[in-house]
Amino acid sequence: MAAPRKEHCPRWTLALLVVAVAGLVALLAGCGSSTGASGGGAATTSTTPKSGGTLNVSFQGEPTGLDPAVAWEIESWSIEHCIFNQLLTYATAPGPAVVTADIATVVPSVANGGITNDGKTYTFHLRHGVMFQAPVSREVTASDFKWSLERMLNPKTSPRAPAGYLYDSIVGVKALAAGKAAHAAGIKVVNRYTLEIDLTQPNYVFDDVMALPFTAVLAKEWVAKYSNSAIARHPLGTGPFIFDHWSNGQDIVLKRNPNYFVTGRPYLDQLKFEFAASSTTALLQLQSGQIDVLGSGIPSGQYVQITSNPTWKKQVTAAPQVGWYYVFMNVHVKPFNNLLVRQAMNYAIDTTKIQKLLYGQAQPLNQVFPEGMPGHVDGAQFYTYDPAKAKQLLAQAGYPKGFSVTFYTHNVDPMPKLAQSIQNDLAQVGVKAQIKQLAEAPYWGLIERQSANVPIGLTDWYMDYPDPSDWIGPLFSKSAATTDGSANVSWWWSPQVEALYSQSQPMAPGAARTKLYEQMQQVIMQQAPVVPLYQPILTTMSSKATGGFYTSAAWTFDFPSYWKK
Amino acid sequence: MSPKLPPDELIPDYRSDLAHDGERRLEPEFEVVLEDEGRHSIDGLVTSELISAEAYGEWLPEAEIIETRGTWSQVWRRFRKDKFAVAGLVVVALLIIVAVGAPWLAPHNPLTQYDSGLTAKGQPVAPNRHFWLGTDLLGRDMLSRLMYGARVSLVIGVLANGFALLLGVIFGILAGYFRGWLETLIMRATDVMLAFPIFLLAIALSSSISHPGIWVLVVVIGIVYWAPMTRVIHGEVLSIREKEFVMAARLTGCTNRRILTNHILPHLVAPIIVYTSLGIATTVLLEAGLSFIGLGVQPPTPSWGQMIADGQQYYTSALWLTLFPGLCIMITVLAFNLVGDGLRDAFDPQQRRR
Repeated sequence: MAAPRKEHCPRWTLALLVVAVAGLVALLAGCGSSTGASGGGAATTSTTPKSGGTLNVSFQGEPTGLDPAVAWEIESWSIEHCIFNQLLTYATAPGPAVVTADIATVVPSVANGGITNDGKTYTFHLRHGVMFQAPVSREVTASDFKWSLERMLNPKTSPRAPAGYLYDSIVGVKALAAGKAAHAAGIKVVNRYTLEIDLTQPNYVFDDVMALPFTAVLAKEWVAKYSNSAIARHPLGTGPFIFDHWSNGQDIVLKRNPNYFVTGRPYLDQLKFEFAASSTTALLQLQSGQIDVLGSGIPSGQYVQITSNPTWKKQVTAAPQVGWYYVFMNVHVKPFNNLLVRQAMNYAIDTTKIQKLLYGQAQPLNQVFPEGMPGHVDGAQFYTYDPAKAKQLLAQAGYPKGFSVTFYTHNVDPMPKLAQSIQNDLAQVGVKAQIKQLAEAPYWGLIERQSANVPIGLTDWYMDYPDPSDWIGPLFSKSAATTDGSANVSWWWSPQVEALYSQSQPMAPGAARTKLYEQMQQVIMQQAPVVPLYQPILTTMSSKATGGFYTSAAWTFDFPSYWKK
Repeated sequence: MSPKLPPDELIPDYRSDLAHDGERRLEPEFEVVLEDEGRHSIDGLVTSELISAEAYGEWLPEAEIIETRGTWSQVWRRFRKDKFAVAGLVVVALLIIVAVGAPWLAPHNPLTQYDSGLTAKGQPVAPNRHFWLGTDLLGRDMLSRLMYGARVSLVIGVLANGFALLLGVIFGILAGYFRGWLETLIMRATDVMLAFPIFLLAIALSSSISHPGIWVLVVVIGIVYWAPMTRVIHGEVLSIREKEFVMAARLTGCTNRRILTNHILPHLVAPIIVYTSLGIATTVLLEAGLSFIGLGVQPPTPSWGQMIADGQQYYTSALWLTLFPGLCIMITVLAFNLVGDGLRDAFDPQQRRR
């Protein structure tokens, strides 16, 4: 029957929809490339800082909190750097991390009398007239520093002091941290502007750890107003920016501190940290001018395209970071309690392929210490990619047919990509890995709990201060291997490394000390609790309107030094 | 029940149909009527449908021509006339062939990360002679992955939908046939389910399970989609249970079970088939969505949704990573929708949209 078929109209609509969708896809694709091309024109090269304006920064992850005693991630640190000050800080300039004075007038040294000849007593002289931000608005004194340091180290007042071990060499801190004392005897207020710190033994990284945000000064009355845990959402310090508000899952806004003790700083009126859904979204926002700094870097899938675009490649900053990405293996969990299996993993994973996948954002690293960290041995390679050797070791270990395992990772780029590449490598030697992917915050919470028995997974570590003890202490020491919440997620330690580590601690920096760390690295790589994958290169972008942009070795982003053109 | 109904009481309906649609409209009614004659005439008792059929037969002689054809061949005859539905069916058949034959048809292993599948700068390779649809971000062959992805989509589409259907038919019949407090309970539960955003519910369910995979997805999607199915079946059962042949069966002393299986269930076949094919389309979309956000099929098993998620970073530099799986999803959903629409029209021409 050939009656007219009116009822087909809806299907034509469907067909139209198909066309429309296809058109939209083409349009979107077109947009992507045209924004790249049309944004041309030479950037106005103004090198003199200008005051005013708002800088918009995108972060992929929301900081866990802004309590300087607790927070320990790139996002938190770069924001805390805006709000707080320590006695010492890291130079706000490109290049290696150099300790400089912050609220202290000078960096103590034996020459200027700040350090006694035996290296055990440090004296810090405070700047006069440093004011806490409004509404506290009073002068900072030496007793504020004593109070803040003790708060950070006292398990009763600080929610969790993950970095407490860094300050163990201060007299009385062990008793304080154990909850046996209310004060640390070694932290002494000499007068209103002088603080003395006594150490049990010389510690050549002491000025480094005194420059970390953990030691930032807080106002006692402000912390009392909130609780010790709520302060993470109401930070108040002495820094160039005042915390304005934090909208959950949306943004954090800071405003200029008009009473900042460094005259002429900061340049910006306002800093706005936005939490983007993905780094890809953030990149699009930067290209359309809504974002000034890509806090999470350039997504690995778009780096090659961005750097081959004549307009945008000028906005790209690339700097090797002192850090590493690696696979951890839990030495308490089968089959990774077997040394041969751990070594087999080192032979089985093709790190060259991973470096190719992360073209321009990774450099080879086949050892524990990255380039830029003493102890790093140029070109050292403990294992090469050799699946046959890996199979042989697995057979020796009693797994001739391989085994099945759950491989853990978080879901922030490039981890999922790495996990899939490694999964494929492991399959080649008969290891069936099932990938378990979690959001970042629950991921760290899980792998840092020993009772969770996570067998194998991906993690990374970035330098806090330029001394290799920053690698051994948190990642390979006995104290970290036996503490929940530490970054030693392999839960591995060895008496040999412990001995070398304690031998190195009182030693002055130099060849002899570095030699000890090279020896530690050899033990670690031989015992293979980890598979080093690569050393990251931080690739990020700033908008054309951003002035003074650089990436800092210590802070990653040094927002108080940037300005808006 | 009066044995002889005056035709006039039934005819006005027909006249109005005739008035605006011509003779074409008449044909289906007769088929329905005649079907019932075969299936539901009970020894010693003549149902009113039978009588009315006779009445129409007397009134319109065409009925005799149609009488000789079976239900299924009539459905197929009407379905065949719908070009779009047939096109949809062809696509579905092709999809099934590809999914079943993936191990033989795929040019490459979908899991192998080829060295030649990445450029020197670690970028995906564009479609070429070797990799017809290009490679993905890890150097795997897109075409082979899409073919294996069809397996995942179809398996989940069919099984999850089957599961939803099973729940829907059971609850729908219970509610529609037995009514009373059971109906209230089931239908209010359905309302609650329908008021809840389906995708959110699916996310909540699948993220609470530690190891997502195909079977978890089947159960999750089944649980999420039972409600709309229940509502449809409930409505059908409500109208069927009031029909005379059911009443007749009840009068002859049939048990509930016999009435349900022999008299009601056969009438549900049409809506079940139609909603299954439409449901598969929705299920494929939901699966793609869940896999896109990482709660679906786990890597390295290829799934279209997950392929789009993997490729989204590359959409400005390597569009094929997202374009092809996107097209696959669109074509599959479209094909199942067309088949579903066609089947609905073929089974129940009275309810055609105008």
